[in-house]
Amino acid sequence: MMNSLLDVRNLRTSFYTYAGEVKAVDDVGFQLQSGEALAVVGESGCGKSVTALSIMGLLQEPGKIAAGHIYLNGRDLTRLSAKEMCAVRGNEIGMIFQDPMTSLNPVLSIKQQMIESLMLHRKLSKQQAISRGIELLKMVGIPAAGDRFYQYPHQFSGGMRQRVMIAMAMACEPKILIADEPTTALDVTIQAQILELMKSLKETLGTAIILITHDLGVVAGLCQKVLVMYAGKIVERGSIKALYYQPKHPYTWGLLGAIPRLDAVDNQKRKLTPIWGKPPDLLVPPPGCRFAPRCKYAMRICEEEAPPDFEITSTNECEQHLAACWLLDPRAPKVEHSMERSASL
Amino acid sequence: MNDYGKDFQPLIEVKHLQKSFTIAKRAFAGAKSCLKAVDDVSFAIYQGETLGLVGESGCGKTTIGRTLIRLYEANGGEVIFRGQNILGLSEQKMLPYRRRMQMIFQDPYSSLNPRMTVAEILKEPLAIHGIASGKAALNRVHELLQLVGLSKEQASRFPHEFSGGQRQRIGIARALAGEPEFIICDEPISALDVSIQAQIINLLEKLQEEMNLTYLFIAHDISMVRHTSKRIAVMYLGKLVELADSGELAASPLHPYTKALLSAIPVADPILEASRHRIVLEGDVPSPVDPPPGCRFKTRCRIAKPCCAETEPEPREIAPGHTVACFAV
Repeated sequence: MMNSLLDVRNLRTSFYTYAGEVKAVDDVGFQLQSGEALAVVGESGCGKSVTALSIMGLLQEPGKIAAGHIYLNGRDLTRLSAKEMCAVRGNEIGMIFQDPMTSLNPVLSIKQQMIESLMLHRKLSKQQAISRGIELLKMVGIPAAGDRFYQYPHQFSGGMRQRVMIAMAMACEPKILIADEPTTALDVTIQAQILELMKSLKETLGTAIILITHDLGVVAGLCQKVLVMYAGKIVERGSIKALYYQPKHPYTWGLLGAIPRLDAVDNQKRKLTPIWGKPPDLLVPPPGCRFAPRCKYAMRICEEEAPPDFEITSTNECEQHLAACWLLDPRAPKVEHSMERSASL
Repeated sequence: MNDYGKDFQPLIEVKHLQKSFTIAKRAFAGAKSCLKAVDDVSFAIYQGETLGLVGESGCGKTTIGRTLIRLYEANGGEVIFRGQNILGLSEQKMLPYRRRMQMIFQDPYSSLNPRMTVAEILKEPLAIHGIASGKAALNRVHELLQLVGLSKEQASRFPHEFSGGQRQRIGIARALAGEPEFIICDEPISALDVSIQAQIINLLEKLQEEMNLTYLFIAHDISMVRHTSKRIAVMYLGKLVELADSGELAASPLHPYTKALLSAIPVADPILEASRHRIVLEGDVPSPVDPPPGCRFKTRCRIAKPCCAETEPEPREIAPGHTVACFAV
């Protein structure tokens, strides 16, 4: 893959704690093309937020990128100095966080928080920055933007604050917007508003989006590609249709089986299939496949050796569908799973 | 099937329940205003069923749960448990009812005392209700732990040694200690990871079958409520807007708010999701301190008529077991 907008290669991010090294992100790689929306899905602690923070250069002590490269338009972000990184952050990559209640500074007005990045990165004068800021608030759908611009975060509701966060992240027209659980703290009707907004921004401005979430429903409406992460590793990746209709990894089956579906007619008859146990301790990860202790299909090799990525050659899609699971080895027994449905359904 | 009145006894009947909170308009100033968290809500819960209660944050669903077991004192209305209005009872007379009505809380991290071991946590209700003491109490603790899928060796541990899902199991064991008939599940899974959520839901379903429990299942996730509940009540700003059989509510919602709520839920199916027509509600929920006169949903409603601003729609039974509070239906 050449000329990808973002190219993450063999990223390893570790936290060096007193107890030892916690490999939060272990050999993760993916590409993002411009105008594309990529979802990173997984449970808490699987390393999805740490991946985002590594890209943003926002890792805090004792976290460190131990190995790997992050190329943004061919430039390796891991080699930039702190000062050079400042010019990238907020300018070329914008980020919105999960909790709109705490990620705005409560003692500064929206105006003060918004013009900061515009004056810093875009070298706008204060007047220009103010008018651009108001324009941005209008763009994200805040009514009476001219007055609201001078208010403080506590005067905004949760959904409005998330809109402000998006406006701030979009201020310098970044090429990539990283959204870390942008709707988790919001009510469903407000979540629908924010998702519509992100979709329209992607379409009108061509911004690439990395959506980090645990909600497979949110992903279905917005993204084209999905990475499923488990315990610091990517276990399955592919186009959204491949992932939802032909999932191959038992963990993906588990994620899809654990959520109730509103549209299902036999909703009440279908028992949810939980994933038993809990994610492994990353201080001492299992030697083989990290999902093996919770996987009901685990074989002996799963406990001994980490599985490589197997390519699934089934559909005529251009997007690669890869899954890291020994079940896909030709020597493995065939396992049929009800989660694999045909796309025509 | 909808004819509950003939086949089933209502276990709990809630009639015109009201709960308001007085809040200071300005700090240190005399002026007080009234926040009507629950305003004239009536419904019944039948023996052995699960009634789902959904709505967005701040709509009063938790307040209903807490008022039902008198963690909050109601301002008006009746809560009739097996023929007895429990709202007027003295603390002493209330005690046996508390044993029969229990609650599971949202946050498994803050609802367990960090300084007590699991055994101590579970023995407390046993002692309060005089169920068991000494060796018998310990045996009961072990029994409870096994019931919720934990081992008896874990009884001497403290809450911090458990994961979120395990803590929620302890919370469930505590609720079961007094062998209740009715359990209020107040967002029991929203603080948990997806794979753990399903474990807890399956556990609750298993316990319901085994012990013939009745649940009031409070949640904001309508797809999960649809999965667990026989009937669903939808709340908006302190009012019950729709109550129906869960299948009927999901298939043919009548109230415009229920329609919007259902369409706002993302479905984990890309093709279906692309073809869905989504009703995106404008704006936010208005403040419950001074709710708009007339129908409370009219500020965000697409089909609001002039009459919606004047009088408040009363809940009407449209079909057997399907009540809606809307003029346009």
